[in-house]
Amino acid sequence: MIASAPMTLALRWLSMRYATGLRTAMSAWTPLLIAAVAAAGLEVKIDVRSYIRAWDAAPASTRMLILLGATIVIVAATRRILRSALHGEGSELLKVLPIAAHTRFGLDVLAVLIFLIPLIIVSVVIIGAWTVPLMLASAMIIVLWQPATGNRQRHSNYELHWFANRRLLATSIGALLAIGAAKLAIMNNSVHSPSAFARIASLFAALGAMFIAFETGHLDAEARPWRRLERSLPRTALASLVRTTAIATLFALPVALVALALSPVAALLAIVAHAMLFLLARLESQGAVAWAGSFAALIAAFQPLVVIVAMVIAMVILARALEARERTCDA
Amino acid sequence: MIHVESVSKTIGGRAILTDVSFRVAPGITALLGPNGAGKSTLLRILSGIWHPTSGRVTIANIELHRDAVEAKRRLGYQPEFPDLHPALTPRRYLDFVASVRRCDRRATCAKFGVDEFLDVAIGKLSQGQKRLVTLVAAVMHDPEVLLLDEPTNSLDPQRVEILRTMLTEERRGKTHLISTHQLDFIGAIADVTLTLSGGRLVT
Repeated sequence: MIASAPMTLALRWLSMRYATGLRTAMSAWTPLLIAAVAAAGLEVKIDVRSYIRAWDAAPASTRMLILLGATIVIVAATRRILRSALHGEGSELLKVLPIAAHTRFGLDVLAVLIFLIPLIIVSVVIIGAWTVPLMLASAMIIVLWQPATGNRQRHSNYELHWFANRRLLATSIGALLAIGAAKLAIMNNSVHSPSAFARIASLFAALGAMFIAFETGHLDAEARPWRRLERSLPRTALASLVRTTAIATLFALPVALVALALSPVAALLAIVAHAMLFLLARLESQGAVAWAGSFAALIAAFQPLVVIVAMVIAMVILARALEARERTCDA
Repeated sequence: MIHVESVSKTIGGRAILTDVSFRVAPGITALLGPNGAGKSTLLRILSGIWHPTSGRVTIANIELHRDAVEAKRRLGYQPEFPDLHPALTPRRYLDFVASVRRCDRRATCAKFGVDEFLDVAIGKLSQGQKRLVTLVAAVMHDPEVLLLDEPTNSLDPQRVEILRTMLTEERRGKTHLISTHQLDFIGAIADVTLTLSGGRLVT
């Protein structure tokens, strides 16, 4: 370790860790952040005391099984995230640098603790919200399905593998969980009026779309069919917008169809939200996706149509930004 | 400057290197051998990325796996395949390496023409450009010992010439171990040749 500037080195190392994977791994907490905002906005609460009573009343063997299962799921999911983030691309050459192994290990532990802070805060702030277990489960399931380093691997039937194994499952589960969360929110809040019902349905359809777009945005952008489509279109902002909307619409359809069971506005919102977040994911603005998505979802709970218009405008701006970035890269 | 004593490496029950011993003096030493001979594995062990299953490595009179930090300060390593995160830019990566190694990267970047794409995401670079980034990272601190794994792969003739000049003139008197299949390149500059075959040193 460089003795003269340990703090500077620590900060640089942490910065490098976040630049080379942990920032992307933070996406695992996106559903939680969105769920936290949504739960706070909808005042979705459960009776914690009744859960504690039920927990105490359960046989010891049942409690042990539940704890064991939860531990296995959390450890397996976290291990995969961290393995991908800390031992993925770019990690090997860091070992050549003159930094002691125990220092590297200590800094990595610190990076992981920082990585877990959103989870800790969200767990504390929204304990008792119905949506949390569902969203947490969805995040864990999706993470478990994503191979640690396989996202960018290419093989002969890549598109088929990608679509059947990842996209379809992610879409189906994300949509089902979003609808399930919406139903629970409606039940918990004793919602009866059609407009209130539509608002909540729209909100969760948007959440589902955001979750899916966020989790799979990079895969979408990397897949060969879209690269072929990119090559066939002129390199303009309008073409970027058309291409993105086409892709997003196609892949938001499963979500939109499920959302349609709740309301047409929910279906429309799902498609537009998906397209916008797809663009954000391509721009690799994960943090922006989480916070913009959460903010938009809250607004959507009050006035979905306004948000749709705002999102379309945002899409145009993002398409121009994407085009500008690609031009820079090409140059 | 490099002393390898009875180094063996086994991965998944398969012996990649078996009882390899040699010394590398200042100058340019070529490491040759067919694909799968263990050249890249040996360079990974010498760079400190991997530990040998058995044996000992000394770099600039410092035992590598006993005082790794001091040994790595004297070492530069360019891998065969550039292992760089695609979201980083060369500037971000090289600035980080320069700050850890406490040196200035600018002269080396200018020499190899890396300035032209310093702010382009590494994922958007060509294979040759990625290799230049790893080459700059390996030599920017002018190390006493330089390990290069297929350094000329994907490089244009102009950059190969710059590399040749650097090795034969600017870094004269320092220690270089270069693994390559480009016999025309290495044949003209190497002082000594080591050959690996089936994980064993044959010459």
